[in-house]
Amino acid sequence: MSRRPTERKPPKQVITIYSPEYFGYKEIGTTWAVDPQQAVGRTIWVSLYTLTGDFSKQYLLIRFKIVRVRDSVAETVFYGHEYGREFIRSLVRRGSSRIDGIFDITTKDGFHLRVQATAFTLRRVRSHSLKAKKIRKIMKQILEDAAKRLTLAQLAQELVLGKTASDIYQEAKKIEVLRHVGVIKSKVLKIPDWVYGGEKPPEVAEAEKPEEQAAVQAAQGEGG
Amino acid sequence: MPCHKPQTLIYTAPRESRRMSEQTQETKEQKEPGKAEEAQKTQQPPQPKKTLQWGIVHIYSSYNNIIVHVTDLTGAETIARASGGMFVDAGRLEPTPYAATRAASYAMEIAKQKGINAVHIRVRAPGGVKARTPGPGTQAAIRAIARSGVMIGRIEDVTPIPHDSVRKKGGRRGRRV
Repeated sequence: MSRRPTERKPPKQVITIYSPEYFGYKEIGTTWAVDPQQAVGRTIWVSLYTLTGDFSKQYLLIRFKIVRVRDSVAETVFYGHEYGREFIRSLVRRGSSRIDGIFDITTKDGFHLRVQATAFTLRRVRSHSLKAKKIRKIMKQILEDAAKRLTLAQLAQELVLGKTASDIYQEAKKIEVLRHVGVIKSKVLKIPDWVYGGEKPPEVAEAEKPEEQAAVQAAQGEGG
Repeated sequence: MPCHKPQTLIYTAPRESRRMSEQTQETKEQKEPGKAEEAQKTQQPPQPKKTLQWGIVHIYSSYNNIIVHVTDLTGAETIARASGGMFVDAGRLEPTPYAATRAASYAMEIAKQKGINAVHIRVRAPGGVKARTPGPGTQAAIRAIARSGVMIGRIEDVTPIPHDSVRKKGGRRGRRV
């Protein structure tokens, strides 16, 4: 029997992946695909160092998901972040405790996230003690409040740059002496459908408007 | 009320500072013309800037074999793949440093032909209830990747570590050899 001629595989296109606008719209890598639409749904891990150039942030890894490909340019959204495994290991010490809180939150623009906040204490705090429970309650409150008033773009920045962690620290330090507080992990559980369509619904666009309005409202509030 | 303005993360200062350093060099040359000529003689023609084509090398290293798998940054597209068993005949030799070196250099050769010139390395052991330390070929494989001439970025351990786990196989009295 004669051998069947092999079918030539179609050539693959190179697709350049960019970080979202709220992370500087920077080129973060390339991928290949026969059809550019195949690249939608792929994810890529980048360290914060590559986005900011700050070497001290090498340990923080951010995950982006491709949601759209136009003319060989892949657009992404924030899909989660994580402290490097070695960095977390360096924080864990004998004699001190680690208080974890894992919460499901929903942002103002409809993204569902699961976030893990962690506080490292200076002395031992038992996991089910009242202190630990109070600290977890503070974590939950601050993260849920942040999610309620922020869009994913804003929340991602706060999680990654440490604004939320600092808020938790300021409140929780009144309960127990803390060595380090951080949101060590987050992942997006559900992306709303409008993200793939490309057009923001009016209520989301309203939410993302610059905080000039918020400032005006705040000023009015103070005046009143 | 805290400020929620998305911050621009990209640091733009280097271009300015570079321009400044160029200017200072020009002024120095004006002051010392002899030295400037010497510098011109020793100066080499500007080489085109090399663009980095990144990939990820996934090394799965157990006590029975080693698999070296080169992918793109998303991990979805395979670029090259090799295992220890492709280079030795005996099963007991599959996880050895020799097989690992051969597998890694073979995979990197293909990857380089396809244009990869920088890689991140992700090492993993079987994990779970099985061994959490990578096998004997891991270091040899990493050394082979380094010797292949590609740039190495991060080296990570991605062994799956359960927060809880199922019962290890082998029964109550363990594996009876």
